[in-house]
Amino acid sequence: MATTGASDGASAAKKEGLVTLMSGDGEIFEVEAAAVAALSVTIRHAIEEGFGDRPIPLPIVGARALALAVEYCRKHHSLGGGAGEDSAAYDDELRAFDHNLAKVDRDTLFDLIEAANYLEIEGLLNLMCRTVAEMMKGKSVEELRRTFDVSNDYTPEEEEEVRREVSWALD
Amino acid sequence: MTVWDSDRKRMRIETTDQQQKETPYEIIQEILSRLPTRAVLRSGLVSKLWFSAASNAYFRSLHYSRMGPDPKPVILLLGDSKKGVTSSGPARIRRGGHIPLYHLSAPQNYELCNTCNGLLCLAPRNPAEPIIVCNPLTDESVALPAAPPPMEDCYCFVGLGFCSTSNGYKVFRISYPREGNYVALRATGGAGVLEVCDVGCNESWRRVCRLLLPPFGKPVCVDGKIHWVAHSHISEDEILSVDVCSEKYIYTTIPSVAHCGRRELSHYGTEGFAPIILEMEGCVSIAAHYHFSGLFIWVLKDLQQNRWELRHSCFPLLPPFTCAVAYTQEIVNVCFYDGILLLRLRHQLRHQCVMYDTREHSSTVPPRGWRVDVSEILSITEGELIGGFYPSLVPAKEFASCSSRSSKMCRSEDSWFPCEVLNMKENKASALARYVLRGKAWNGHLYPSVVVNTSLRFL
Repeated sequence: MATTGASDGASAAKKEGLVTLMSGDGEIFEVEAAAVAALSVTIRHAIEEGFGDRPIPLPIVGARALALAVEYCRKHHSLGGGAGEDSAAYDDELRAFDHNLAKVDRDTLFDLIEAANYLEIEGLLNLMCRTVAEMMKGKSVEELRRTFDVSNDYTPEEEEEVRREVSWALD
Repeated sequence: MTVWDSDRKRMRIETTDQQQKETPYEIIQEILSRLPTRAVLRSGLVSKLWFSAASNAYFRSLHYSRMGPDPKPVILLLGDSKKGVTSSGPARIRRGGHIPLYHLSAPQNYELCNTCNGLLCLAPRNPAEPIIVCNPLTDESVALPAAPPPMEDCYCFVGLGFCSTSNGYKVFRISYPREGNYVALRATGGAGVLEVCDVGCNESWRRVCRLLLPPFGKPVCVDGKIHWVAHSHISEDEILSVDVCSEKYIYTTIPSVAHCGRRELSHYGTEGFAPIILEMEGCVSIAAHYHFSGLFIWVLKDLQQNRWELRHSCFPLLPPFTCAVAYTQEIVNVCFYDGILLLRLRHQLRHQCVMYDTREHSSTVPPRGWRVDVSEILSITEGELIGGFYPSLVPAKEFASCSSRSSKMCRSEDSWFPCEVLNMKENKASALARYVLRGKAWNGHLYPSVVVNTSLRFL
């Protein structure tokens, strides 16, 4: 089984234990099948469905997010972290890795969440969503709209009605 | 495939401008499902899409399976039905004042029995009417099968609990005859009848067993058991604990000093100062009011060993009432929240609420003057206080855990494709449904996740 991503003689596309991923913007990644399949349910299914010898198209995953997601899979697979923080193998090194990964900018964060959701990498999805949830703490509704780049589509009357319904939860 | 025409995601991918990107529905749900209940409700104000993402049944199940009830309990103030404080829905809560007190309006002719994981159990004043379990945050409710009590002319005591083994909720009902020779009944095995009904299963009530001592007042649900104060009439009061999973019960003796304050043993609830049960520090606790010694709060640290710890005691009891009349005051409700003890008292026909801050005192030190914040004395004199309500989005209708997603084959136009249905919302007007589908690899193609507005058929 191949354990490194860097390949000597890269022209040999069908190397044993490698799988080819194609990002939404057309970039090709050759990665260790074992590492990504262990963490990504989608890739595992794709390989089971016979995608092993063709590039797996990942239409909604951008190259940058895919690179980070693959990096996550490699790290967690090699350190035996499995699905996430609940597992016993989640040690300081993995924690530090996750902590650093979560420091990306806002746009990358959302791209990573989408990628993790699409690739069904539970641990990565959890990590990134929790990071966003942490960002949301203590923010006003107006600040949330700015953070998420959402425009307010309520009429003042509608907003007042929703506000009344959840008034008990507003501090 | 025309099914993809309304695919927002695809259209979004085709736009190259990253700034115009809208956070997809299921991503919003993934993020919100990791926020505490209050924050989820607040975020519904962001936009209509967010509101809809945070309010459908799938999301509520997902949120509850991830986050459970809010860790911070609130105190509910049950409105006085005489003043017409009722709501159109099953029950609603709203914020009142500057303490964590929330007004709850329940339907007329119903009373709140207890709360469990954010659900309320409402019992009808007429026992032949159905018992209702509802979540006041989501406006969802379930009516249990109506069943008349197993005997004529009886008291009914109702409590809701959660069974972690079956991942379901159960309502227990204890019926006890109003008239009877309790001493004789004790010798013959008890006149009470314990019944149970599984919530949301549409099954009828099952009789569990007979009970010896009648419970009194409202129960609390702690640690997988529903606990009531039970009266023996001839000896000390006990706690009746019904295990929700095994449906077995045990009686536990309350510390004997708790009985000093009782003036009459035979007319419980009307004349005597019956001990009051409450939840404190995650344990069953007893508030006992003695004529001359004041208020004592005991915490049951170990049910099997019957190990109690004295937590708070105070004297004189209640400065707003003079010490001279304190002994005639009856405590009607006691709630504990974040170091604050909220008491509702009755003296003759007057009711009053008083709030104590206990945080500056160690557990068993005698009172020596609790800090009483007079400004916090509530103007509320009517209505009932219920503590330990942990708001959650738990669906009242279906309790199945949604953690396992299932793949389905879905048909659109002329072809089948595999997907997981993440979310479905029906639009009655157009007879179309909005689906959020997660794509799968199948037959040599990897299908993308999509949002479609159409009618789909599933295999």
